[in-house]
Amino acid sequence: METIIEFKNCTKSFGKNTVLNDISFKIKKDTGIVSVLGKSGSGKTTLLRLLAGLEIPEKGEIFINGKTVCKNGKNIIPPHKRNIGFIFQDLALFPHFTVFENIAFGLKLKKQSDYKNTVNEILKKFEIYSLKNNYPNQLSGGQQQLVALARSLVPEPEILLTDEPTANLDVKLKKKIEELLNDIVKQNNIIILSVTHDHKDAIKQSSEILMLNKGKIAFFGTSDEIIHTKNISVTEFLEI
Amino acid sequence: MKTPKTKYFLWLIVAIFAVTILLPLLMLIFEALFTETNFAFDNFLTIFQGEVLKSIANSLIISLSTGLLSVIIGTGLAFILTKIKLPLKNILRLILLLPLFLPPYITSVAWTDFWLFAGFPKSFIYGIPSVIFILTTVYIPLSAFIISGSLENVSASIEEAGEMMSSYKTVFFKIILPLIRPALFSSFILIFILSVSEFAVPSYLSVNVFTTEIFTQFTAFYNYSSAIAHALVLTLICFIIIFPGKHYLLQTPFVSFGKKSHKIKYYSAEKPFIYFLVYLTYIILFVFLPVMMLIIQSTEGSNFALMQSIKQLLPAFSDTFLLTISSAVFITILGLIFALLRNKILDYILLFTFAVPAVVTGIALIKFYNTPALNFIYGTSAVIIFAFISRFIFISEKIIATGLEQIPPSYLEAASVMGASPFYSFKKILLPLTSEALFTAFFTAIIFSIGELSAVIMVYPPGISLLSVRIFTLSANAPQNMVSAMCLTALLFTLIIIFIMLIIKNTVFKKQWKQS
Ligand SMILES: Nc1ncnc2c1ncn2[C@@H]1O[C@H](COP(=O)(O)OP(=O)(O)OP(=O)(O)O)[C@@H](O)[C@H]1O
Ligand SMILES: [Mg+2]
Repeated sequence: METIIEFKNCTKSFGKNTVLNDISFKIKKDTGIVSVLGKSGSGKTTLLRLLAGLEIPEKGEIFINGKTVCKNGKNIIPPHKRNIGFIFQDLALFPHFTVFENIAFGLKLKKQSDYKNTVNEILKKFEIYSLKNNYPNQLSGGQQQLVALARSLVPEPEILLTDEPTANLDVKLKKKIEELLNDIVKQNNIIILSVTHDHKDAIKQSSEILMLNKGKIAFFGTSDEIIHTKNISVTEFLEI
Repeated sequence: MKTPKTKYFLWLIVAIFAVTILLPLLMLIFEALFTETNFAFDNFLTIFQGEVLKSIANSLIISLSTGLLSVIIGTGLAFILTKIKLPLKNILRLILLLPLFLPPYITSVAWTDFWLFAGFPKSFIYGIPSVIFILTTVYIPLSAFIISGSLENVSASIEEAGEMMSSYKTVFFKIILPLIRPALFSSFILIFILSVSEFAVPSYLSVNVFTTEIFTQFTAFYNYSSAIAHALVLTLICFIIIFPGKHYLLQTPFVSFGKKSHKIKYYSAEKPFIYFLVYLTYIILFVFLPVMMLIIQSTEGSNFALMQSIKQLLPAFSDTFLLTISSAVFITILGLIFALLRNKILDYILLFTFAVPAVVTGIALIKFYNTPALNFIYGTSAVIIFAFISRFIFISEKIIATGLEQIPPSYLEAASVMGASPFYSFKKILLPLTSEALFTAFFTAIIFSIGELSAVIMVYPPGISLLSVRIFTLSANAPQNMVSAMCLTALLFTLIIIFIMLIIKNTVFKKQWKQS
């Protein structure tokens, strides 16, 4: 199977603070969901932002589908040409657009002529059709999260990056979003890199787990492997 | 907006601003310091003597007291307005702002009318205390507005966390006051600069201050170098006063826009109607009373004063309207460009243009443009537009920058990930989300420009008639009821413009997402 994402000796610092230090890993095309774990401040969000092109590593190279997207401190392919969906920690729904307009934003840019049908379909699938004319501040936290998810999925990205998409949600809604994500992975052949604090869930949901600690990759492997690992920093973190 | 090409374009516009507006100011200062050294030195000596020294003292007494009083009273009003639940709050807020929207010369005529009517002694009316009083009533709304914006930024949870640990008094002095300190300082400095520049009020009340002194040197004695030497001293005084507080001035948001992500702590006063009464009394005394006096005085004696004044001022309406609107358009566009560039040096440059007193701005523009080579500009209304830009670009840019800062970076990042080009994001995300700030900046620029007298009275070209200049020159020889009638006319003119602006705001900028 082909590699879809590759980090090669990437280093990212903010001033003197080296957040990611010379990290390398590869993710294959049919992996499905990859959970990104690590303590607060360990660089999880930064990792996603590097992949999206919103930050640039000062050293190293990142490949998507074998193509170099950035190299030696320069973006070669800008964010909007990487075909990536991103759900931000603060969701970043546009407050002056309705739910419908928010979701249609990316499709309109792709000049899709029947974007209205596509948007309506996903609204129905996510059971938020009745909210389509509401503005983001008229939605509950969970509904906002569904809209953000829908918005990042409609342009059919190859890679979806989610920064704690199910934080602060009740169990029912959390289940629903997880099911939606699982369906999407099965149907659309998409890679999801998901940052989460809930490692029990991560082990259950994802096929691979990437754990960051002190600027390095502390663990990268399948959920089976992480349960049986002898690496002390990992077991301590997972409390198993 | 970060593609190199747009960046060059934006900097090109900054360069044009620098050459047309900044350069004249710098040249004046350098000229006073170096070229005319000997000459100017003599002038400096004459400055620190007798009458002139007294006018400096008067200027300082007036602007320091006005700043202090406005901040103290403004803080009280801001507190009532933001922290106590009152009926009709939004209307109260709008009425409170009204005196700020009126050109200060109108307010001074109105108050003089009242004092004459009530039989105050002339020695009081035409003296320093009354100038301080009038300027304070004009600028209280400004400090109340800035301080209440900063109080709104104190979240309820911070206050409540404090209250769990200590008394409200401690919370106020240890938590709230330090958090709003930047707003207190910057409103003080802002008001200080505005009142040091003020020319119409002291001149109308025959109080000799530094601006009137410069004006006399310049227009009555045609003594350029003396005026320039005076101007330099006044500018230096302003800079010295501003210097310690410059960070506050640059960092404090002047306005707070949109919905807050946090809750504001309200206090249920035991007797809220007392606060309501305080407010109402303030508004009746300082807003309605002066306006009533204008109405009474202008109908005194002949009933024709109002009609006559409208006739007299008619040519000034269209010129004032067109010039203030077009200046405001320039100011808003420039303000947006400067805010987008987010450059520290640029911030200081704008602060500099604002800190230069208005009369000095006027002299600088004359000296620069009244030359054979540039006379094609000097003879036109472009100089007036330059004067307005130079005076008010700082305030408008601050308002727009505040609006831009309140847009989370993730909005633009989200747009960019979804395939939006920088220009598309600018058009679809940035511009709509700053529209309220842009509108406020535009509105502020118009209102301040209508009231501006000190700079434009120096530079207005023949054939152009501005409301403030026309009333000022006519009032020298007109009977009191005529002056009042002219001010009432100008007041109506300003109110009509405010009204039109509010209608535009409510139709064009209708935002459902703001409601709910
Ligand atoms: N723009 C920035 N400027 C300076 N430092 C930054 C910036 N962004 C992140 N950092 C620093 O980089 C480190 C990693 O941040 P990051 O947001 O990636 O952590 P995280 O793993 O996502 O944490 P959390 O779980 O709390 O969201 C932190 O120490 C943070 O202070
Ligand atoms: Mg994070």
